[in-house]
Amino acid sequence: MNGSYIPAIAQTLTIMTPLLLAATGGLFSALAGVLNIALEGLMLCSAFFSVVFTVASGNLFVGILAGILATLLLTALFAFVSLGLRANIFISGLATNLLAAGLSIVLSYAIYGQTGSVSFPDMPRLNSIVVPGISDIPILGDIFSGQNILVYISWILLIIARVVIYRTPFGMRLRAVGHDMEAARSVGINPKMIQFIAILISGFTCALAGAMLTLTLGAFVPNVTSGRGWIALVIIYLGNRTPVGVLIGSIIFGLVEYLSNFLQAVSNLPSGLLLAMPFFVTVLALVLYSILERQLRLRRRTASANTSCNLPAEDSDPKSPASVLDGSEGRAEENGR
Amino acid sequence: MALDSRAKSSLASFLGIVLSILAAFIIAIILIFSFSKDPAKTLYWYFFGPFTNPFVFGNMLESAIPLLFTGLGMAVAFKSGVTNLGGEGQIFAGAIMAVILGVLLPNLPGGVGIPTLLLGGAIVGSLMAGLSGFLRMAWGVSDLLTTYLISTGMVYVINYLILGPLRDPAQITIQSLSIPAAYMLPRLLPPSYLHAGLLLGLAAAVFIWFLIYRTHLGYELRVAGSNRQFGRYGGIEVRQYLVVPMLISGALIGLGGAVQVVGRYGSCFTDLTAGLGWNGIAVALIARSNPLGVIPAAIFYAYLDAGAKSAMINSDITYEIASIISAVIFYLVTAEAAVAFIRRRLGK
Repeated sequence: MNGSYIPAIAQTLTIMTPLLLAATGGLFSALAGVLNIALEGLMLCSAFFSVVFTVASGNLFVGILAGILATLLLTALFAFVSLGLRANIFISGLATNLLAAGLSIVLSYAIYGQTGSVSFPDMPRLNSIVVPGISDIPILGDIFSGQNILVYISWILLIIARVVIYRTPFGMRLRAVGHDMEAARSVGINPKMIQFIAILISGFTCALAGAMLTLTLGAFVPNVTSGRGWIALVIIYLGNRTPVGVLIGSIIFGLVEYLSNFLQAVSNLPSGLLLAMPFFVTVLALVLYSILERQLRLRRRTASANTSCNLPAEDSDPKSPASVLDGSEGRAEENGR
Repeated sequence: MALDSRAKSSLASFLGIVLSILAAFIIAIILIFSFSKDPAKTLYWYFFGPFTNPFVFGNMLESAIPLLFTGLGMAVAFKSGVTNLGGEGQIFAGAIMAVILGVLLPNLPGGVGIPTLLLGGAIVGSLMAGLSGFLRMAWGVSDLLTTYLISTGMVYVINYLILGPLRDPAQITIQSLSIPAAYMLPRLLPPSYLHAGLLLGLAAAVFIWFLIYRTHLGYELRVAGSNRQFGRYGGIEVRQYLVVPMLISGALIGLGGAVQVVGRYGSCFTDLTAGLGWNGIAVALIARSNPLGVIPAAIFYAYLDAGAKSAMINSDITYEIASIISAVIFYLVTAEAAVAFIRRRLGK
């Protein structure tokens, strides 16, 4: 084992970055009370457009910027339909995922004449950056230096997110809206505006996450995100909707994905089964988390301490995704009859 | 007066659907004008292609069959207030189960074999969705997340089965072993692929409608779905209605997968689901979760799909244009603001 764990840690840091980015932005919408299942589509949108514009301009910066702009447009559409037109946010989230998948292939066909993977061997890619000072430190230098720029940006963004959420008026309003929308409204906060901004923030970080996927690959592959947006969503809730929790969750799921890749390379286990592993591990993690959370809550209740609960799907929790969908479907049904 | 207001509500809701479909068509026309070099030709094939001959017309109806099953499955889930985002994996699992049973039990008479395969598919789908229902009942785990995650994991596992242990080495294309010909449903409109699964789908729609609106179980499902608290006070054991609708929903969707095998393909391949699980959600939404409404909704959806295919074959756009158009319908079909707007107009 002497030293062989170092590249493993370094690779895990790379693999976890798209998850960390998407989860960091998704944290804002989650705190504002929006379960944003469009993370997947938003990532895919940028994964496509950042390649298109990097190839067209020959410049990574222009490509990433264009990816961000395109994704923000799609995010704004999603937020407008959900908040402005009051569509069911889960259905409009699905629509966003579907739109990103369809649009990327239709445009890929229109621009490159192909509906499958398109690779660009000559396009500029995200290169590793040697960080002066750190790179000379043994072990730490090998792990923390030589990552690409988006990896460092993801760490900076996580720190910024922590400051914004806990130390700024906007962060306070954000949490207030997620905690009790009516109470927030009564003290003069515009909940829809806060939610709109929160969704845009998630679009911005998803754009970086998507760019990371394809700009390191030098190709666009249809459905390149392959469920990462959903896993990011799970990470947010497993991380108890805190920046530190999101970081820990991203490390764990990054490790799972690394392990799955590693086993594909070195073992005879079928790669199809290993690809399935992160999804089943995620389900397992969700179940364990829910059991633990429930135990903790019971203990707290017996200690007669009143706390708010953050469980993703508890029947009595008004913020839970399932009960939100129940509620809005119920309303749709009333209209339907 | 109350009835009048109710009638207006449902008219507004219906007009809301019509409006979202019209918007989707407008987007379709815009897309065709932007991406096609010969928009007139593409438009013709997109809108009229599915009706140009009995072969394509039969195929259009055939592609409505799986949507009937997935649409019904999603409608049951919506009606009962549970969330099933695992349609893709459930339909795929139903299909592979039918193949496995067909390969393992090759010598049954068709009258026994076909129901066995269908039942096998329904059970697998049912168990997959039911597991998510159980996890929510027991520990409050979000069914929205687990249905998706289990389904996606299963898609990889099934792809592995098709590429590995179940692969038919005699075929050039990658597909699983085939079920015996005796287990195939009869064709209704040769040479098109339309098969007797259509009748099964229609029967399923009527059966589910009866179950939801005319039985005690259906009543309790609907009460639990619209208001769990109210149901609890009314003496309904609401916890079990997190699992029961999932079992029914998954069974319908898994059955749809098995029908794809015994009706259409005879085997399984890696892209068999092709978004059928997601499109089932769209079908259920267009039908406003009414099981009988699922029939026209599925046919309409199949028409959109067939139009895109026809335009791809006969003209110069790619098929994925269909998913952009679906997305537009998704965006608008639940938009309460649009319905409220129409409702106000009707009120004047």
